[in-house]
Amino acid sequence: MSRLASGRRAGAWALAASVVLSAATAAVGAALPRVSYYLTSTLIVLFTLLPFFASFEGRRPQARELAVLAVLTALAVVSRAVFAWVPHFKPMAGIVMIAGMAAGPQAGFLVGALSALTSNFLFGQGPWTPWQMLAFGAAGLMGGALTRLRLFPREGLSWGRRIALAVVGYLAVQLVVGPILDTSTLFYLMGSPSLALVVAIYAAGAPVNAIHGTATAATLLLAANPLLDQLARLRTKYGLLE
Amino acid sequence: MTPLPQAARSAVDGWHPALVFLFFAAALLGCMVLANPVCLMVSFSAAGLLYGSLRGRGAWRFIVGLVAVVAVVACATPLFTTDGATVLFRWLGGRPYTAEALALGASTGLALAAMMLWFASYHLVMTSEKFTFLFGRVAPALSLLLTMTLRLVPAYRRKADALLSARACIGKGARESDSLRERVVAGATVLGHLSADALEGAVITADSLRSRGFGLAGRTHFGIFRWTVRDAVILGLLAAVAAVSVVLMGPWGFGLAYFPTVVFPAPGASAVAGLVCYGLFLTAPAVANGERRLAWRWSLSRM
Repeated sequence: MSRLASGRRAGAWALAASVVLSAATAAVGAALPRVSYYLTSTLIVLFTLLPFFASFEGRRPQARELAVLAVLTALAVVSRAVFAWVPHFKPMAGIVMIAGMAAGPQAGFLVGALSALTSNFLFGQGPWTPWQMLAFGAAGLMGGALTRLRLFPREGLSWGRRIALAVVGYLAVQLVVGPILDTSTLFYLMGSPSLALVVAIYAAGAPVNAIHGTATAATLLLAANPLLDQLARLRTKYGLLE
Repeated sequence: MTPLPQAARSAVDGWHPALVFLFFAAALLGCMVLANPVCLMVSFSAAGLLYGSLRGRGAWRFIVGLVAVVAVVACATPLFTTDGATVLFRWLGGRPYTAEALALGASTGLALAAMMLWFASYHLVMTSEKFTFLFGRVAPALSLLLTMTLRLVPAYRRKADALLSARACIGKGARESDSLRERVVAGATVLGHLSADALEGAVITADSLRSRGFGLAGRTHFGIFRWTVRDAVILGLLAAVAAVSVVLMGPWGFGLAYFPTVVFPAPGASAVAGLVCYGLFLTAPAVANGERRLAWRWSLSRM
């Protein structure tokens, strides 16, 4: 219990710090017209990631919890290789959402953010790294919220619920994950504010996000039950992920 | 991750991870804050030199690709930004395509390309073990998580390959003739097998960690990197040069007004001096790498 409490305390402090820092960054960015939009926005993204990491670190997680989260993260990163035969199929967001459903919103965010970071260690870091961490973290967070709010059970989904979950997954990518990634493109291409550029970037992103969303929906439809059942087995057998 | 012959021998590889991280953070910050096109050119060239010193001839293809990125961003920007007094031509029912927007696009593209080039070198120098070493003390749980993940990813990839070929052997592999649906279902099946094995393994790993005393009080952090006097000297020199360059350049370095017409203030003597310092700062790792290579050549010639 004290671990949880100290995790919450660290998270609350980091959240307060993050809000103050973000507001200060936004104010400075707005006051100095020549400071790049990308710098301001990326700093705010980094500050957003901070509370999640701090509350996880402050909780001093046990070995078993660390190991399960590492496995889920690695599975999310590797899942692309398993679908190598399917062109343009990116299952990572789907796996991250499933991880969130089983492990909760906070752990889900962590799995998502670390999946993005890890896959960039393999394929190359870039100006997009913090944004991908935020986008996939959000996917895990939403997955966790689905079960935390009791919208979906944590195992044994019926056919109807699996289809509903697939629809939710599609919408999550089309409306949240994809647009966050598009926003990073917007900020590093935006030399001066222009509505036409905003419209063009989100419009160009929409079909890409639709493909990504379809892959996520297919992943959830096919992998949610097997994976959730395996995680439920871990829960009953070892008392993990309570 | 990939062992590169030049990278393995590079001088920057021997710098302390904190120093390397600070340098790249400063270089990236420079790309974003010092938005004067001349500063961006200096940054891009220095990043190119460093990348070249790490990759040798292989660097050219990437650098040429980045020049194409600059060209695309430059040409595309006037399509979305119509400000600017000098109209080059009109398109789509009189929408102006202006020289000023083109200039703005060129500088935005240059900043992006320079950042990507710095990140490319960062990827080669700041390998994952340095990253986890650096953050291991601040965030021990997170960096352990990252270390474990980085180990598991290649292991699972090998396991996934084994599963795929085992399934192919019994006639259940994916074929060119398969429909999209069959391929997705086959992928999901392999994923299910992989995760079943992986999750059970996780608990065994965790118990083995615990039995070796994970999380006990009094355990210290171990790292193979030592902060040496040389690192301190390099840090001091770099910080001094960076500070001097920013002070000398002043507002000149922060960028231009592009609209309605481009105003390019001629750099004064102090701005030029600041620019030289900026160049010295950014080329330091490339110079260190080059110096080591020259020393190697020279030692060979004396044999």
